[in-house]
Amino acid sequence: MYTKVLVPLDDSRFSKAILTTLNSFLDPLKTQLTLLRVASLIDDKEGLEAEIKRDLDEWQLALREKGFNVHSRVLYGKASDEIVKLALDEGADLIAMTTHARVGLAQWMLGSVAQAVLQQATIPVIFLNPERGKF
Amino acid sequence: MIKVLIPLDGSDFSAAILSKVPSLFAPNTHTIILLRVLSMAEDVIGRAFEPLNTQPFDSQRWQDFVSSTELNQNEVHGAGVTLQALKKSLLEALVQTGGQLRVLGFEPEYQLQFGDPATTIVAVAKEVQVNLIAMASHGRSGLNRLLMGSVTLDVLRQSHLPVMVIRPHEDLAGQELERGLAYSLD
Repeated sequence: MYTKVLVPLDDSRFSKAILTTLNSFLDPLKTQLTLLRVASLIDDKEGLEAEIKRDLDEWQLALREKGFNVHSRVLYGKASDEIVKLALDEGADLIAMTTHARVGLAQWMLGSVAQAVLQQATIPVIFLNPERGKF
Repeated sequence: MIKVLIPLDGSDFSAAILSKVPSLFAPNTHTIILLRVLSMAEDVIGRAFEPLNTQPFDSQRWQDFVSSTELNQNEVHGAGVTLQALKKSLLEALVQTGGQLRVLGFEPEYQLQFGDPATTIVAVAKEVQVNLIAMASHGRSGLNRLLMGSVTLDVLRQSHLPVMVIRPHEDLAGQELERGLAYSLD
């Protein structure tokens, strides 16, 4: 039986940090990964999708080499809403993402997308707070 | 083996994460380490500078521990005896909690530490070289207006390891609240 893991990414290298750690805590042969990029809809949708595909292909290949079953999705809209919705649609067991834990006005806080995802998700969320400057 | 550290604080909230273990981890690939941190002030114990001993409470250490506890109870009643008794009851509770993993085929390791919760969790994670920390978003302090309790947020801030967070269900929040009221009415 597969553990289904949804991995939300953006166009930053920072967001990919989680991808390098997945095989440290998941068994690749028992894991099905969905790499998700949520973009805002612009005029040149085809151009954007080609660019995202180029960005994700390399990672997808690297993850396959580690033994993961992996595919990717591109969705349009508000990041946190699309992440939670897809997790539900795919019956994901967990969501794994890179985030900042930084100082807010009065306290330490998560990045805004991470906060919204944790707020809405009913499944466990794995957060990675990579070393500053590493990515 | 993949090592997963699960910090518990004795509340139902913190233990809610255990129900997720069987769907995400397997006994033949993952070692689960249950950690109870008692945030008792270090100065009460007077061991602030004692090095962190992360040797798990396996059967041998458990035997040694229990026999040393029995020995101490014959001595004059004092802080030492009270502390030993406290440790023993906390460990017993932790091992009992681990029962729900043992019936699934896991052989969890047990850790009991004293100190600041977040700092200690991160220190144990580093010392034992775990791959993942898995914990509830809120612990003993219960669900509040904040999305994440301070201990969980501090762990995430201090550790560069992946941290798995689950938000306890609202119905559990209700139970915990009722229990809190029951305590306060006692």
